[in-house]
Amino acid sequence: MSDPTILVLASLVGGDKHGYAIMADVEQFASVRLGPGTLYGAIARLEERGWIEPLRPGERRQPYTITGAGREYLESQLAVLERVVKAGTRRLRNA
Amino acid sequence: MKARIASWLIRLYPAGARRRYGAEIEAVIYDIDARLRWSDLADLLKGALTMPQPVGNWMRAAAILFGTSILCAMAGGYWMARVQAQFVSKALVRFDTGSKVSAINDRLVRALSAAATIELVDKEQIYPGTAGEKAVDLFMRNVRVSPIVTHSGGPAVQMLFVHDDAATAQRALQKVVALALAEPDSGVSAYIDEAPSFPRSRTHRNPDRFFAGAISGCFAGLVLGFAGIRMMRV
Repeated sequence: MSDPTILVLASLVGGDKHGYAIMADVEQFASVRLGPGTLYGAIARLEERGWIEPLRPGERRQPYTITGAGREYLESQLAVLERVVKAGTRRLRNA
Repeated sequence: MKARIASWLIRLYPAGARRRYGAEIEAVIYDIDARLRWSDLADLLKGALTMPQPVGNWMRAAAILFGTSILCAMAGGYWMARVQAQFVSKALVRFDTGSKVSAINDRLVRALSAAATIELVDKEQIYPGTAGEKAVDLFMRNVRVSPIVTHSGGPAVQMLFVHDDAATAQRALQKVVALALAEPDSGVSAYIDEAPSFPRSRTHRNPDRFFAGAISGCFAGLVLGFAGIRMMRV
């Protein structure tokens, strides 16, 4: 699980955060360290697709929030991931 | 030091992305502080190269690429067209199937030796205004002899001669082939393909130089354009 966009969405679904807080949160819950370049690449893509949006634009430590569309996208991706995890676990047991 | 490198790397981001996220990335670097790693700097560089661009910036970048490639294509085509065209004269020399490769090689080496060619170059005025060893050097640089495989089997060589003048290219190659045939026979019999009585050579103008220059210029322009986009941080 290393798709930075999913990691950022998963972080923001737990509450609004700014860049460094997202990095720290992702490192804590997924043990993945997002570099600043990767983080802002993901933020730019998510913002462009309307899945996250900035709160109080113009701030140096800009907090972001997940949008309704972002939440739907995250749910669909996590559902796919859940199916993969279930199938993989079942096959591992039978192997 | 890492923080300084990081702030320099942020300057490499495309202008639109830098305006939008530059201060935020700097704030993140400030927050990371002592935990900043070299891998973070590599990540910043990767981010600078892959950061999504707003549509307006893409159009500007495309305009720069288009402009530089067209300009360089025109410049390359003009420059190549100005350079004097060269002509390549070709001849195919076949040897009898029983000929030994070493004997063929000896024959060609003797025919193209400095002693044999110096007379030819001076007498035929292959390079007017140039004589002696210098002319022989020029001559040798423009002669190509390469073994080839023929359908009928048996050894054969292709001889090429390049010159600025079509007639001279053809004449010089005919003389070289004649020299090779006139060599004292060492058990090798040779003849020129499709022209038993006299060496036949064909002269071709090199592929159209303008288009060759234009295509090369176009590629060079694309590379320059990319470099310019990065330098101007479009």
